[in-house]
Amino acid sequence: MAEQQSSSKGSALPGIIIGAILMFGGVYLDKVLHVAHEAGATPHAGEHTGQWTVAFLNKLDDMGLPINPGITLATIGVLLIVMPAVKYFYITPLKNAIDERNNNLESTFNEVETLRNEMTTMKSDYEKRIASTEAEAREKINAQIKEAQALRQSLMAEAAAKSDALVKQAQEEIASEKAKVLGELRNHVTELSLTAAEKVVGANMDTAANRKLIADFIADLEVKA
Amino acid sequence: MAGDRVAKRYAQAAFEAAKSANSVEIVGADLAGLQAALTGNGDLRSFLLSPNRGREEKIALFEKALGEKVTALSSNLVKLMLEKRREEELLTISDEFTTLRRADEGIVHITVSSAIELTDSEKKQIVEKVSAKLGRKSEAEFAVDPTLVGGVKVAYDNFVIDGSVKGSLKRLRESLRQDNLKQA
Repeated sequence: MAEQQSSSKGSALPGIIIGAILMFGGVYLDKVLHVAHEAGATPHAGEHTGQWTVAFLNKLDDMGLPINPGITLATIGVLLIVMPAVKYFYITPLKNAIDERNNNLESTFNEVETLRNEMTTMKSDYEKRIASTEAEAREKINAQIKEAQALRQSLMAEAAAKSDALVKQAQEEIASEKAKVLGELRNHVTELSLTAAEKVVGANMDTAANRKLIADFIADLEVKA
Repeated sequence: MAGDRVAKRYAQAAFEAAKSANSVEIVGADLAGLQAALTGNGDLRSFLLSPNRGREEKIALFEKALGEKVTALSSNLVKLMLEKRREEELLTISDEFTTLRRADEGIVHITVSSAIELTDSEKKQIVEKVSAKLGRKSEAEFAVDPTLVGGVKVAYDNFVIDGSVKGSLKRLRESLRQDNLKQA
């Protein structure tokens, strides 16, 4: 900014000089023309021109256009002198402020644009993620459902097999118990019969019968020998 | 078990000495008599088996009671066993000696059980037939066992010839049990 101002100072210097020349020249011209107008005399230098100029100015004045060239030149010179100052103290800071404002706005717009892009990207990512999550969740749910169905079938098959096995085992146990009880019953009957037989034989076994048994044993012993 | 081994060793030594002296029968009878005395006389058995009595005291009592009734070989054997503190083995040495004698002479020992007392004729027939069946001499030991109900049972070595009512019923019972098992 300071560099810009110094360069503007350098570029304004010829204008100021020109302005000063014009200002002083205009004042001088105005004084000369005023004196000539009031005196109606011809100025010493350029007399013909001065007459013509006064006549022309008077004609313009008569037409309703009162122009004073000296004042006009002086005004232009003053404008040329004042213009750099106005430019330096007002236009340049204003331009800088506007530029800065524009820059800030542009930066803000860029930032907004960036944020908007980021938001768009995030939204897109979010939507993708949601879609992915939904797909994954759906896939997991489907897998869980399949697994649950498989487990259900497996459990049902296992339960059926166990049930069959239990029924079979129960039948076998019943048959076994039945056979066991029948066997025990037979053994008991046998035992009772033999005990009774032993008692009957013991009660009826007298010496003669015993001697007969001994004699038979001795005879059998001979046969076996 | 250790006592049996000791008794067998003493019996083996006594048997070999008796056989050399041709007095196996006499020594066997001495030892059987000694065993019968110890089994039948509780006071004598308690005295000889008592750990509180000295060896000399036991030997003196033996000499006084039985010393003159047995052969010198038997007397020396008993004294030796008393000196060696082998009183316990006196109860079984007779059986071991008898076993050695039977093995040496090829005699089989049979046990005949019957529900009633057998007559001498019956005993003789049984011994003769068993000897003929085995082809060896046999010595029988007879016993009355009323639980047999009737008939006779002969046992020798690891064999039994069972002609008793009890044995018949037992075989019948086993047969019926086998049938029951087969039906089950």
